Amino acid sequence: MKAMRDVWGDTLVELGNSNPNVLVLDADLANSTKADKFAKAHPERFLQMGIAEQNFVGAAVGLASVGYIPWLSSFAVFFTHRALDPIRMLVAQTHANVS
Amino acid sequence: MALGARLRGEKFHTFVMIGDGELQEGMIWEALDVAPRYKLGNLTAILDWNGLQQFGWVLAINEEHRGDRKDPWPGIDLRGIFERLGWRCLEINGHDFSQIIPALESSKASGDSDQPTMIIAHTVKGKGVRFTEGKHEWHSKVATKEELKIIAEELGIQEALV
Repeated sequence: MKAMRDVWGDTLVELGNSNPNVLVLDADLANSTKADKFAKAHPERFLQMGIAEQNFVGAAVGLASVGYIPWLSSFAVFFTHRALDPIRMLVAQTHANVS
Repeated sequence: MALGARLRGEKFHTFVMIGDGELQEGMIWEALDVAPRYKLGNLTAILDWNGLQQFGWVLAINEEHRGDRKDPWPGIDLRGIFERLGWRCLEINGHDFSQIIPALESSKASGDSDQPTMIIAHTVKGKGVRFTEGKHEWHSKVATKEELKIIAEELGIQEALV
């Protein structure tokens, strides 16, 4: 069976192949989440945002506002707990095209 | 948004207003760290440093300050910190248009540079009205009709507009 994180990495690469507006933002876990596959396939559309989950959500909303399709990649426990307020305030309330 | 403009090759400039109290939030420091890494000269943050937050800390006895509670950043060299993080800093009197406009123009003119700009605007909370100036309670207080009349008078605003 294929590991979940390999599915994640390969899917991000496919999304990147199918649409030039797809970006991936990482919070310094790409080699664990396998988002590094996207970094290798599309280095110019891979944005390392550091260990800073709140701000990477905010940055994604800004990128969506100029027409990009940002995908945020992190561990669920960091992403949903540390960044819940920006997810609610910045993404949900503005209906930004952030995944 | 500034990062998106850079990636897209768009020329617009992004301005962000932040407060001195709000600057205590961790998320702002995440952005302060990452913006210079992406060389976002097309980004300007304006820090409204009015020296008061909603409730804050009580002043020490005989402590001198333009507000009636402690400064959110008492005696701290924020400019030095921002500069070491990679920001270009301008310091202005935030009530003086002859300083505000050149600072904004200078920001836009440096849009192609590789350093974001921080305009540190020194301000007074509740400026221009005797009973609101430097009073933390006006961070979150609603004026009564009577108070509004006095405010309009002191600011030279026609009452009909209030």
